[in-house]
Amino acid sequence: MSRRALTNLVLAGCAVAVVVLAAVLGGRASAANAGTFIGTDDAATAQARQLDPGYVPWAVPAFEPSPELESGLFALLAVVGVAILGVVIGRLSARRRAAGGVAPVPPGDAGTGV
Amino acid sequence: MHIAEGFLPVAHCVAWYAVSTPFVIHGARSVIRQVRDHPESRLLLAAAGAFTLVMSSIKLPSVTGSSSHPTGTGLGAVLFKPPVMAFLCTVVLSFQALLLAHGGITTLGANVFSMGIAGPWVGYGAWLLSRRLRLGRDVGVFAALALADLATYLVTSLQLALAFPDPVSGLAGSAAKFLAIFGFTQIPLAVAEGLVGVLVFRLLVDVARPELERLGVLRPAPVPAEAMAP
Repeated sequence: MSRRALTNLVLAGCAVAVVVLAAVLGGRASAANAGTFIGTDDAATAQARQLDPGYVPWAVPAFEPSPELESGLFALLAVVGVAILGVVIGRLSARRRAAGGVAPVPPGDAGTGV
Repeated sequence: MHIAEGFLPVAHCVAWYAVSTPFVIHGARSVIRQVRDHPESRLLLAAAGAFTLVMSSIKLPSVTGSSSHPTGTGLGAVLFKPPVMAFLCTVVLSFQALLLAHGGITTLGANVFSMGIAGPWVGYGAWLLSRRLRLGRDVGVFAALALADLATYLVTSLQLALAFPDPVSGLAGSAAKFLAIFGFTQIPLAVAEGLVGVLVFRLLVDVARPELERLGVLRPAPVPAEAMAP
């Protein structure tokens, strides 16, 4: 395995580790909410209501999906985004190959230069 | 950072729309100019938009027992400079407001300001500073993404504090309360976002080096001496 590939693997591992560690630590903190991770957007809205109990929202969403549908739509958007990223990287890679192959990474270019 | 529909007073909504609109128009013009003058950069533009769409659609649990979203705006700011992100974020946030009732049309101006303007400019500033300090490309990309994320939530906290000052401790007290909600939750997510951003950027360097050199993101690779020989 090349040094570059190894670095990428370490980066991916670190990102996953940070997310998992945050979730595990958060799991203990969320015990007070019956194990539910409350969204910070909802928490901020609740804080605003607490600071100004008389405030009445002057507009409501035209369409409000159920929590299950909302989760599904969020996942759908994420999948669409990942698909677009995949297509883009695939096409860029194909364009690069057509132009004479993927150029070797310049010497010393391990992400330390600009 | 999605301030809910109707959750800013009318005057604040109008003010944030007034502040954000010039940035969005300038960003739209930048996108049009980029596509017209350099059609080959369309794929990278799509990548920047898709990355923001993915990151801002992922809800991750965090250390405080709350969950939140990354923003993904730092990557596009590094690739195309911040104005482009004002336009791309407006598209993403409009989708989320209309389709998911996440954020809102009345609060779109404020949400665009935090996620599409303040975040990308802070991220781009971090990128430029890291280049000037010669901290290395990956460090610069990490700082751009992580700080763009954190700056977005800092600005959201201030926007909410302006709208809902604490009756006792005023604006500062209210800002501290909103920062307490967003801040600690966001730190690990910003770190993870920075790491993922570095990974995606390295992938783009592998497949789109000429485009990145043309955009000025990478310095042109030195031509080997034998290639210069007659």
